[in-house]
Amino acid sequence: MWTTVFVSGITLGSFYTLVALGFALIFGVTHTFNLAHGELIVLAGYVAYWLWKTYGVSFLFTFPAAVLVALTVCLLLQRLFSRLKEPLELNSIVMSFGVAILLQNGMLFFFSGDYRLIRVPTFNQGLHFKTLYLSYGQLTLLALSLVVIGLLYLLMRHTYLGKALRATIQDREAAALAGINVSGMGLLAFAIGAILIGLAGPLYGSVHYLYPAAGLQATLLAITITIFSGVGRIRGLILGGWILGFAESGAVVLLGASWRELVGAVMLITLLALRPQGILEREK
Amino acid sequence: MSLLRLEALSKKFGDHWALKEIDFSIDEGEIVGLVGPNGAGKTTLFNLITCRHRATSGRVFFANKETTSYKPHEIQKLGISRTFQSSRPFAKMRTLDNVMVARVFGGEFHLFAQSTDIDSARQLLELVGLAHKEQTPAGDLTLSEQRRLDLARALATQPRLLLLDEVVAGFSPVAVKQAVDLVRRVRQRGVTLFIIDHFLSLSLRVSDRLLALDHGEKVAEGRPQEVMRNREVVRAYLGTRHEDESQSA
Repeated sequence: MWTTVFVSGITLGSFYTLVALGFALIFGVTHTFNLAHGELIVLAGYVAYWLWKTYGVSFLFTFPAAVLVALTVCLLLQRLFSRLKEPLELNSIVMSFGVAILLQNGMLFFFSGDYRLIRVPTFNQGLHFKTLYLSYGQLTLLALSLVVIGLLYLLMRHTYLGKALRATIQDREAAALAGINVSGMGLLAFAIGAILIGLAGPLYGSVHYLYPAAGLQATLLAITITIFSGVGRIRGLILGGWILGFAESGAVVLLGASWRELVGAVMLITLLALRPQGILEREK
Repeated sequence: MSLLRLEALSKKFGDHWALKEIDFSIDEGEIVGLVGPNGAGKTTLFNLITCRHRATSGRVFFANKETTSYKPHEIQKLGISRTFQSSRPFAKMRTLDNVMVARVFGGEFHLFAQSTDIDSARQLLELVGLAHKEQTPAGDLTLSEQRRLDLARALATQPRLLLLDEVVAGFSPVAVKQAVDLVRRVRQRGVTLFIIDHFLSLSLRVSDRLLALDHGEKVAEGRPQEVMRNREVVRAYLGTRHEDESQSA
């Protein structure tokens, strides 16, 4: 039983990290607290669902379209958010709340309120290693999440573009002084965030049911993990994602499936009450 | 030919004139001290030159271009760099990376680290005496080390004009003396310097000229000894004794 918890904890957790990455990057670089993050992921999921269901496009080939849609919407949103005045965090919460409602209603109109799941036939088969069972669905989720996280890690750590993004996260004015185009970095963060959202969407649609209001849970996940790790810390985000993944899998096994969604919310409230500066953030 | 020229530069915050009609210019290769009591408008002047704030009126020219409404990274590209009153390193990055980022974005951009970036960053750390700390996260450096890192980072963008804001505030006499040597070495690299220095411990020793501000207005400019004998400057710094006022009345 515990190997099952372990496997699903790691796979779910890695996916949660992927869900949080885009949010954390955009928030860190531009100070935009994007409450519509989950809706964007669900939208990308719907795009994949629609292509898969209507045109029989195979699951893996839905990703480019989902990324394209996410990029288009995010870059439009970036135009909108870049008009906001200080304090950016607060103003962007209000504006993105409106955007989230708009997206929810748009999705309700186009895709109806039905629960939808991208059922990839091979995802239910899997590999047995003695007591350990890994479905192809889990394997895809795990592999794709880890590859994307790994690539982003390399970008952030080992290229100057990544160093400039990190510099902007740490101190925007000092970054501008070092010759970094801060508004350009904001655009870049939205673009990378959009790619991450576009990749997370179809995966989300293959593990969770898609419905217009489903985005709230993804937003909650992203916020919880980001607060846990602090912005600009990919390793922290991975740890946060895994802990949340384990907690959810554990709760499902011990308490039953209906408790799963509560875990994230409880974790968020506990975090905010105990360590609002983030668990991994050092005391100043 | 002046490198930096300010024409009737003014800045208003609400109803308060932080700077009023400042005319001034700095020649290539000079070291100029900017002095004045708290609230005189020294940092505001730096903020206008580096385009961190917009001037209310007046114009700034740098290297024969009008730069009044440039963006901060554009003015940096043109060759103006600065340090802040309170040090602002990229705290979670290694000291070496702090300098390398400034070097690459201030100069030729490329995606991956090249050995020349590392070499030139190391040279700058050597210059400011931080070579032994290159692997330390910048947030773990001491205050005076962070100020020197600020300086190295500002130099890494290869500025023609460097604005230093209170680099020696809170330094011991020994550290001030080291800073004096450092500023002279920076000038030898062909950098023009404009230095804010409230307590005059640095600017009196290194400056070719001083610009004195009080309540946002220029009260004096010229050779350091002359400026420091100027009645207005003395009054701004020390206040006026009662009998002085009655004499002048």
